[in-house]
Amino acid sequence: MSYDINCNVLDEKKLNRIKLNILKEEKENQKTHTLSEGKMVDKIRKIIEEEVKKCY
Amino acid sequence: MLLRSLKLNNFRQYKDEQLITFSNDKTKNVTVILGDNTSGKTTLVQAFNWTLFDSAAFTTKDFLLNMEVAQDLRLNETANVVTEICLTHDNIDYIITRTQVYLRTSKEVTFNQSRVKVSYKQTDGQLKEIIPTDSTIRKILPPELSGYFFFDGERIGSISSKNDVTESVKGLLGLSELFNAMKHLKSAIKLFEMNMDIKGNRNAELAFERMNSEIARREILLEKLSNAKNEIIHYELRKEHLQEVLRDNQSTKLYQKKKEELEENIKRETKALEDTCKRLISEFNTNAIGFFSQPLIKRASEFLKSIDVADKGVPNMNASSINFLIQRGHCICGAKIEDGSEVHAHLMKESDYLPPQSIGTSIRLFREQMKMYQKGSENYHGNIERKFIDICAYRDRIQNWEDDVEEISIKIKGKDNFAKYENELSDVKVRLRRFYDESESISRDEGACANEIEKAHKSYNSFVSATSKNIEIMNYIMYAQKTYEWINVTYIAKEKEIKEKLENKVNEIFSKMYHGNRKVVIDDKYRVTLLTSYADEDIQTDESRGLETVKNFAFIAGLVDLARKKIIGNIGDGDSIVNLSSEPYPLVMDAPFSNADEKHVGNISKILPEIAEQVIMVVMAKDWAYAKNVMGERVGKQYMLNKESETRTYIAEVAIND
Repeated sequence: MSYDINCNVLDEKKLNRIKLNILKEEKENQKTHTLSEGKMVDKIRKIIEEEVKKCY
Repeated sequence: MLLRSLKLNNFRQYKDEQLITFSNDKTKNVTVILGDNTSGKTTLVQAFNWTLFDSAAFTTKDFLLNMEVAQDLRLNETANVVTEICLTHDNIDYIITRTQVYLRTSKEVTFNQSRVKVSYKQTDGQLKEIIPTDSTIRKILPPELSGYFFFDGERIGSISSKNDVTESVKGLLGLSELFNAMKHLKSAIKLFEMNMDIKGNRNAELAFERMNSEIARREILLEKLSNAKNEIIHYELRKEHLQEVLRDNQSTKLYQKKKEELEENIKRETKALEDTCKRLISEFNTNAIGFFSQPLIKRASEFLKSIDVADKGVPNMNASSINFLIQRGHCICGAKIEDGSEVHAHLMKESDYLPPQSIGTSIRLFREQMKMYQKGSENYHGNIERKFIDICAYRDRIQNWEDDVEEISIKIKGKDNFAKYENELSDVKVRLRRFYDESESISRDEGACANEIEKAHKSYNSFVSATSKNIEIMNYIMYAQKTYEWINVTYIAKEKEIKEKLENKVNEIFSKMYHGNRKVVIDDKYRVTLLTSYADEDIQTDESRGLETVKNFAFIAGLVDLARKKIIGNIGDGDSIVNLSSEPYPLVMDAPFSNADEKHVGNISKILPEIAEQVIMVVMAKDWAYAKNVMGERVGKQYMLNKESETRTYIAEVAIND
């Protein structure tokens, strides 16, 4: 699926930080299993939202 | 994770407190624990599982207290079963202690749920307890992976054919993180979409609903398509394998046909041989006297020629006929015969010329008999000779054909049951046709579904108001999608790479362990099979338990080796990398060589300490004798399980050379 994102410009640096943070979180949860599926989805949403909002 | 020590207190036959420290020397990374049958080898390995995961594979698994201690308990008195593992994980020293309290009641000894305590050593050397315990232990070693590091001789027999092997291997090799990330990102994207502001916008709402329903339908179709494709791959491989076998069997088939023809020839020729033998015997019995008496007949004939013995008798008449006439009293001419009469005298004289008294008549008869013998023996020799020649020829041919049959039998031994392969191939072709048809039909539906989604999406986009909130959410979705796409590409590439690396590594290890000519193949589900070269083709054959043990050791060693290596995801910055797995693991084995022969025990023992960071073997002395020759130099610690009684075993450290 692709969105009409003419109004949005993708920032590679932000994208890479999102990738890194998501995988770190998955790696941690794979070992500890502390977060449920739903909480992991929320966590990932939060990672994306926070990173997109950041100004560098 | 590397193990430092194991402490047992009243754990089954290990009465009182007993301690084993494991070798952590990199060059001497093997700890050997020797024990006879029923000395407590399995209990020792199960103690790891109980301490870490509160599970142990005992028949009486719920009651772990030493029996002597249990019997000595007085009313309301308690006793503890305690096990403690010291280990290092991620450069941190951990102490994991599990305790279970047993109480003597008026009826029996009862026990409560075990408790586990996890502590780690801080930089100042002080111990600090960690809560929660289960997640910390899971972080050190996930229970689903423990089977690859703590296993017994029986378990190793099935380790590479387990159904859940895919998930375990993915977890062990660090693919689960990528897989889970994709799954969670998909859900996150869906949630973002649901947060778009379309309230009051009926057209956008309808388009959104249609889009979601088509997406759900497409997911089901894609799953069905994936299943159908997997079945196609499976049956195509099976078809290929069967065709290879049958191609090879074409020559077998020809041999089989030839063998059947020869067997038919032998049957026919044997019958002819028997008939000829019968005729020869019959011929021999009928004319042998005449033939073999020819020299005598010849001499008799020559003698008879030299003497004059006139034959005056009436032909074909003998003395009995005369006697009959005399007794009757009248001759055939009607004349009366009376004693002393002239007729009587004539008849008596005539009887002298008749057999048996007449030598002349006897000689005449004898001559006739000689002629008959001579006539009968004229072709006798020729007939017997011809039949004998025929018999020799039959026998030669039968012998030659029997030799050919034996030669063919050796060539096709064990390969002649190709009818079942032909039947299976027909069945596989039918199944394949069905799955291809199904796949084609699903693909068409999936394509139509994708078009519907695209149309609904375009429609949705056109109806969605470009509010600041929606633009923001679209931005999140864009990043989520880009991340998903990157992880998906990485996952596919890594999985392929890992499978290839694993297969290569397992083959490399297997070739060192196995002294034969076979190779290991790992399928998409990480199931391991062995192929052997046969008539220039690789085919799957039956595996003995010993061979299966070697195969599974190679598989585990390959997994351990790969797990130690870093699986790295380059996220694109150049500097930042994600290290998904890099932890060393020990191999703790109970009676690992039960099914392997001397040669393979040696080969396996040589490889394992090179692959695993730490090897702990609980083994019988007789098996260790074979392993010691090649593994002896790698042993850093050695223990003996001294069984004093059925309820008491003591662990004693022994000198390594003992």
